[in-house]
Amino acid sequence: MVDARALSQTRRGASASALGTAGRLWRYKWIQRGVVWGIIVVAWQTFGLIRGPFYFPTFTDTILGFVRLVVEGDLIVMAASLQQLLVGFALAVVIGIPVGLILGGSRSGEAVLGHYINAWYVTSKEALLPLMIILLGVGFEYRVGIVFAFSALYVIVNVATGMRDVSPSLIETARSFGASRRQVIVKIALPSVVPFMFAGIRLGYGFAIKGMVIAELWVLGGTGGLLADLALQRELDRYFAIALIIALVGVAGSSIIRTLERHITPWGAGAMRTTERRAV
Amino acid sequence: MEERDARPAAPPYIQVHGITKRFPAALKGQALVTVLDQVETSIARGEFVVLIGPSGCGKSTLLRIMNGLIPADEGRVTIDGATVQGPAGDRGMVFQSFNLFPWRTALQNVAFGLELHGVGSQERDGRARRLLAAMGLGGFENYYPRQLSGGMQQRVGLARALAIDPEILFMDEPFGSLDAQTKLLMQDELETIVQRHKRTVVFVTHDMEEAVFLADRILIMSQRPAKIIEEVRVDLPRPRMDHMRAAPEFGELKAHIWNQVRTAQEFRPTIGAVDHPTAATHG
Repeated sequence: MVDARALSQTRRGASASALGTAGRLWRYKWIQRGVVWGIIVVAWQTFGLIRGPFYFPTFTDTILGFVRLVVEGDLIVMAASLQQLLVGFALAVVIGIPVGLILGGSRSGEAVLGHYINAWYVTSKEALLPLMIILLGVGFEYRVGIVFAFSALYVIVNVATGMRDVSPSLIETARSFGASRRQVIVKIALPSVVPFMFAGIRLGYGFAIKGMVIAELWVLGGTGGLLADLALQRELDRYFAIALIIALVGVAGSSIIRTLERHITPWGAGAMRTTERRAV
Repeated sequence: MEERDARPAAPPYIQVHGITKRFPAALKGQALVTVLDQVETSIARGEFVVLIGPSGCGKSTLLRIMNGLIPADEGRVTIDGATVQGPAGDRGMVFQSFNLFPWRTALQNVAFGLELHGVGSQERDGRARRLLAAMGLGGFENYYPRQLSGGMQQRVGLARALAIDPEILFMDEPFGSLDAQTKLLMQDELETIVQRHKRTVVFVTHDMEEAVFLADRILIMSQRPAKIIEEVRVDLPRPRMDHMRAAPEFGELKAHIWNQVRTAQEFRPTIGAVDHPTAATHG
């Protein structure tokens, strides 16, 4: 009896310290992510094995699919799509920001542009696909155009919201120091728009990817065409690999945008979260 | 008590002539609300004047009209004989909600006014640095406003207004949103600053004690449509010290002002007016 109790106590002690070690490790964000990843991969593998490759490829199939993409040169097709994505998205940002500034910052800008932007906002962007094909064909220009049509709007609308949202009391403060109208725009309105601009850029990037895939699915070319072919031929391993690459491009792009945002707006919520120090 | 004889004889520096201001009513179709009604007053150079009155009586509106931030409907304000047309670079303003620019560090906030007027970056940074150090904020130059406490933010706000070396400092309930202790400390600090660089200060508050502690003269305003109903001269010696808050004259002045403000407020009874009739006798 005594021995058994002593044994169970030591065992409890050991398991408590093991829990303690696990608890300490769990604090690391990469350990947390790793564990969740592990669970997902195991579940994925199991589900794939049960359903069979005709319906759902396993994790290992998908990895092999990725190798096949590399070997068979499909990555070149994807690189072309990425190029269209980047060109269309860059245009959306470069054109979207000034349009947003005009739309949100001036009464006449709102009066002239407001209706069109609103119409664009409420209309399905997909409805533009046939028109864009008529205007631009099915090649590079068309795809860039669709990416632009999908993403520019979010940049414009967010920047315009930021312009309308500039704090009247900060404007008053600047005026109390004798700021001219020009100085109010440059030193107050523009810096307060920057966080909104980044929100628009991040949102717009997600829609740019959506635009890229839809544009290509519609004309069965590029990465979208590849996806359609692979699905019809039930080559789901490569299909999944492509889907994963697209997701990675999305995540990588948005974290680049986030990092940029932290550097450009060190006062913002995103940058402060990790370094928040409130002096007392 | 020291008698400061130079001041009463000084010529008016800021003159307020028949200022009337009306605002559109909150509801459509109602008549305009008259906030200020033919306000007359004058302020001498170097004087510390406090505007006090029931809440919502238009103290802040009068302050903004004096600074030129908003136009009056009738009347005019002159400073040193010239009619105020709009805000100018030699008048500083401190706000109740600090209004620091969130994207600027403490240093950049303080340098703002100098930057507007084209002062070179070395000179303005030097001056901003010295002012922050004088405010006890040395070492916080590169902090953003949201990293600072309320009291520190308002010290930055005060430094920002002082950086342009203003002739007049307009202060709109600058300590109204600070906690009680910080508020007292800031009042001491402001007294020190005012003593060091003689400035004309127009200060809005609804805090009786703050008014008596800081003012040379207190202008009591009535409920809307507001007029100045009484002027109270505060003859406590300068520099004002914390222990004076306990002096009998201090308490008497405070009680008198509260009496006036309460009477003004009772024209339109509110919860505040019947809340603590004895509040003035408390510290």
